Amino acid sequence: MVKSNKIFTTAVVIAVLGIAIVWGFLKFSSNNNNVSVVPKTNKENINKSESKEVGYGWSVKDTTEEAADESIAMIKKTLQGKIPHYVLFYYTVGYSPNVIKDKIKSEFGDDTEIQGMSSLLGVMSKDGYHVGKVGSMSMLGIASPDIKMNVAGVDLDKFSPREAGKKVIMDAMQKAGETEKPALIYLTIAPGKEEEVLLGIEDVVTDKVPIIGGSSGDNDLSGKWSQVANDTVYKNGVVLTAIYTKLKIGTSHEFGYLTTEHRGIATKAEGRKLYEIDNRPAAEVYNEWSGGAFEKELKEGGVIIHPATFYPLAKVLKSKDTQVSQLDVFHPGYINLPEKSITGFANIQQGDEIVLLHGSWEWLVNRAQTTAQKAMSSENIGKGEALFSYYTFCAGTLLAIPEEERSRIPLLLSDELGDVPFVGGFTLGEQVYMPGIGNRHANLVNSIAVIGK
Amino acid sequence: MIKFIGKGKIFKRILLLVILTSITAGLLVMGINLYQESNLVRDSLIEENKLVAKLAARAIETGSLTRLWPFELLEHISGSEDILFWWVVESDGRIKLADDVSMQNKIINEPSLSATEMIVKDSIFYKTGEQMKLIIEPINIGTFDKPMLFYLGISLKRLYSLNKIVISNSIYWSLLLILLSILPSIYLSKIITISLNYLMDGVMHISKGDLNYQIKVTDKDDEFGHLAGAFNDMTRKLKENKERDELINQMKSDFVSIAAHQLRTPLTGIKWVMEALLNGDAGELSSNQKEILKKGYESNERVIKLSSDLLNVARIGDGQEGFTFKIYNFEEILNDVIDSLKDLKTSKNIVLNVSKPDSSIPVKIDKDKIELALFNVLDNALKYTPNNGVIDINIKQEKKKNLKISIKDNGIGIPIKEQGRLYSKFFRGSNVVRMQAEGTGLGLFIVKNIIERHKGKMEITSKEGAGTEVLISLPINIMPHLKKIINSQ
Repeated sequence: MVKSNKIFTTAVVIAVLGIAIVWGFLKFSSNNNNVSVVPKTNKENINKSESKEVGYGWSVKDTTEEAADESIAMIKKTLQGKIPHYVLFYYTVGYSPNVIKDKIKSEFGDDTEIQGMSSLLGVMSKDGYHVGKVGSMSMLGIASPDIKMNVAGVDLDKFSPREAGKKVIMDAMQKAGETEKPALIYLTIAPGKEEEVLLGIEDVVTDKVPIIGGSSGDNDLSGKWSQVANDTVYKNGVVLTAIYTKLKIGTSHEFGYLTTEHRGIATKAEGRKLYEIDNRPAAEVYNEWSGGAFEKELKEGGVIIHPATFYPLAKVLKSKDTQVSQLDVFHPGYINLPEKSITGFANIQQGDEIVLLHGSWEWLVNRAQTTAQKAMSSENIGKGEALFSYYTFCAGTLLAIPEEERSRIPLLLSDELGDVPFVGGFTLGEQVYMPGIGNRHANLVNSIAVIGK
Repeated sequence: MIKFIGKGKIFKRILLLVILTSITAGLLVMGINLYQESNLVRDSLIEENKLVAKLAARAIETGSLTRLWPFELLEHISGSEDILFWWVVESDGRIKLADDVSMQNKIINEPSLSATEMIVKDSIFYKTGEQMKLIIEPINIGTFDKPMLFYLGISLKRLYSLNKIVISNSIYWSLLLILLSILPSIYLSKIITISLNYLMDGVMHISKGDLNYQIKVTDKDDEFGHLAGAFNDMTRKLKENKERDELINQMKSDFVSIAAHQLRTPLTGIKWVMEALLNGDAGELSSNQKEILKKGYESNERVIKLSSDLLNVARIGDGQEGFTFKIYNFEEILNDVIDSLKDLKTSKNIVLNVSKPDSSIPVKIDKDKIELALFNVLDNALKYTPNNGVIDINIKQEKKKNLKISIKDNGIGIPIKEQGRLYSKFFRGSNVVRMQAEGTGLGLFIVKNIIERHKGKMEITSKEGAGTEVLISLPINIMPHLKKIINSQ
C-alpha cells in the first residue's frame, strides 16, 4: 500500500510538473514587444498650434453658465489678455443663447461683435466633435487687427425675407462704417426662407460676394432653433457678419455624392414642393430612380429624410459666365399623398433640370478634408497658414453617418488645415457660393471658409 | 465485488496502473491536441488578418488618389471580434487615423515604424495588457504624403477560447477513458487474483495438513488452469506419500509394541529367577557366582527398561494411550520422583536445589504420565551431570494460568549441531555416546508427547560443556473455588 501511494504521488507530481512546463512555455514563449503610446501634452498643443490673435474654446458642461465660462476661459488663455473684437459661437438647444451672449458681453465688453447659431446634436472645434449630456458649445474669438467683422441681425417675422436680407447686410455694413462690399459674408438664418434672404443680400452686394453659412438647427426639427446677433436672440431671424479684410479668403463647399445617369425635368414645382418629374408624379419617378428605396412611403406617405440622404436630388445650375454646370442639392424630406409629391429643404422651380445623386456615409465623412483642401488651394493657403476657419456641416448628412464615425469629421478637417483654430456647427440647410452662378441655398452640403494669414 | 476489491495488492496495482496510464495518455493527447489546434487556429487567425491588413492598406492606397479614406471598410474591420484596434501611422509615429478617434494625433514609440514589408509579431495591447498579434503593413501612398503603415492588433481570445474547449474536451475524454478502462482493469485483475486466491487457499490448506483440498480449475487451457492442475497433482502425491508413510510408521509401531510386549513377560520371568538366586532362595552362592549373576541381572534390567520405553513410545507417541486428568498437588509428584532417583543422586554427590512457591500448586494432570516425564528429565540431568555437579529445580506459577518448571544442570550439555534432533526417537548426543552413559534415546520423545498431550510446552536450551535447562510449562486449568478446597486440604 505504501509503495502504491509512492507511485501515485510520483505520477501526480510528474503530471503537475508537465502541465506547469507547458503553461510556462505557452505564456513566456512569445516576445513582449510592447507598443507604447506617448501622447502629446495639452501644453504642447496650445503653444504650438494656436495663434495669439485667434482663440477657440468648447465645453460640454451640464449648465450653460459653466459651459460658457469654460469656453471663454479657453479663448482668454490663448489670447493672453487681448480682447476679441468678434466672437462666433455654436450651441445646441440644451443651452441658453441669452446666457451665452451675456457671458461674452460680460467678459469681453460691449464692443465685441457676437454671432451665434444653434446646431443639431453637437458642435465642432479644432479639438473634435463635442456632444454633451445637456448641451455642447464651441466658440471662436478673433482679436486680429487684420480683419474687421461686424454683426447685424433682423427678425424675419417683421420683414419679408428679401427685405430682411437687404436690411441685415446694410446694417452690418453701416456698423462696419463701410460702403464697399465685404470680402465675405457669414450667414446664420432660421430655416425656411433662405433663398429670398440671399436674393435680398445680393440685391445690396451683388452675387459676386461669397455668402457662406447655414440654417440654424435643433435636435428634432421642432423649431427650437435660434440665432444670436450681439444683444439679440432671434427665433426666426437672419444674422450675418460682414467681413472686411485683405487677408486671403478661401471658400469651398462639397456635396460628397456621385452623379447618376437618372435625369429629368421638374415639370411641376412650387416653392419647396416638387410635384412632377417629366410629367409623372415626382415620388414615383424618384422611387424608380433609386431602385425602389421608397416603396413603403410611396404607398403610405411620410418622412424620407434619412434614406433620402443617400439618394438626394440636385438641380443643375448653369453658370452665367461659363458653360460649367454646378449642382444645387435638393434634399427630399417627405412624400405627400395622394399626389405623390416630394417636399424638400430647398426651393425648386418648374423647369429645373433634376438629377439623382448617390452616396455613402464614407464619402460624407471624407469630404471634410477635400472641401478644406479645395478652399485652401483656391487661395494658395498652405497647411497651418490660415488664421482661422468657419465650417458648416449639414445635419441631415451627420445623421447618415454612424455615430462612432462622426468624430472623424473635425479631425479630418483639422488634419487638413493644420494647426488652425476653427469651429463648426450642424445645420438644417447651407448657403454656398458658386462662382459664375452666385450664392445659393443648398442641402446636404459641407462648406468652409478659410481665412489666411 | 467490494470484498474482492478490498483485498489484494495486485488488483490495486493493476487499477492504479490503468488509471495512471489513462491520465498520462489523456494529458499527452490533450497536450498534442492543444499544440496542434492552437497552431492551426493561430496560423489561420494570422493569415486571415494578414489579408485584412493588406486589403485595408490597398484600399487606403487607392483612396489616397481621390483623398478618400475607406472608412466603411475600416468600420467593418473594427467590428470584427478578432480585431483589437487599427491605426494608420505616419513614419514619425503619429497616428493619423485610428479606430478610436481619441488616439488620433498621438505619437507612438515602436521599433517597426520604418518597415517596408509586412511584419507579424507578438505584442501587448496597450489598453488591456493582453497578449496580441500585431500586423504591420506598409501603405504606399505616394511621394506627396509621408509613407505610412497600417497597424492591426489581433486578439488571441479566439485562440484562448479554443484552448479552453480543447482542454475541457480532453479532460472529458480522459475521464471517460479512465472510467471505461476501470471495468476491463477490474475484470483483468479479477481473473488474475481469483486464480491466485484459489492457489493461495490450496497452499494454506496444505500447510495445515489438509491434503484432500483440490483447487477449482475454471479453465483448463490457460496458464492458471495448468498451474492448478499441477498443484492438484502435487497434492495427490503428497497425500499418497503421507498415507504410505503413516502405514509404514504404523506397522513399525505395531511391531515394536508387539515385540516389546512379547519380550517383557519372559524378561520379567528372568528377573524373578535372578532375584531368587541372588536372595539365596536356591541355596547359598559363592561371591563369584553372585558377581556373575549380578551382571546378568543388570543386563536383564536394561533390556526390561528398553522394552518399557519402547512400549511407552508406541502407546504414548501414537496416541493410543489414554490420559486420565485429575487434580493433584504438583509438589508431591515432584518429591516422589526426586525420591525415586535419590540413589543415583547420592552416588554422584550431586546437589539438588529445589525452589518452589510457598503454597501448594494444584494442577490437573495425568499423574502417571507426568511422573514418567519428570523422571525422564531428572534422570537425564543426573546421568549427564558429572560428580559433584548441581541441579537446580525451579517451580513457579505464571499469571495464574501456567506452571513453569525449570530443571537446570551444569552437565555435559548437547552439541549445538545436534539440538535440532532432540525430540527424535533414539536420539543420543555424540558426547553422551562417547561417555558410554546408559540410555535408550527415547526419553525426550516421550516427555514431549506427554507435555503436548497436557496442552503444555517444552523448551530445551543447552550449551555443550556448560549444561542443559529444560523448561516445561503446564496449564494449571483449575477453577478458583476448587483451588481453595485443595489448598484447605
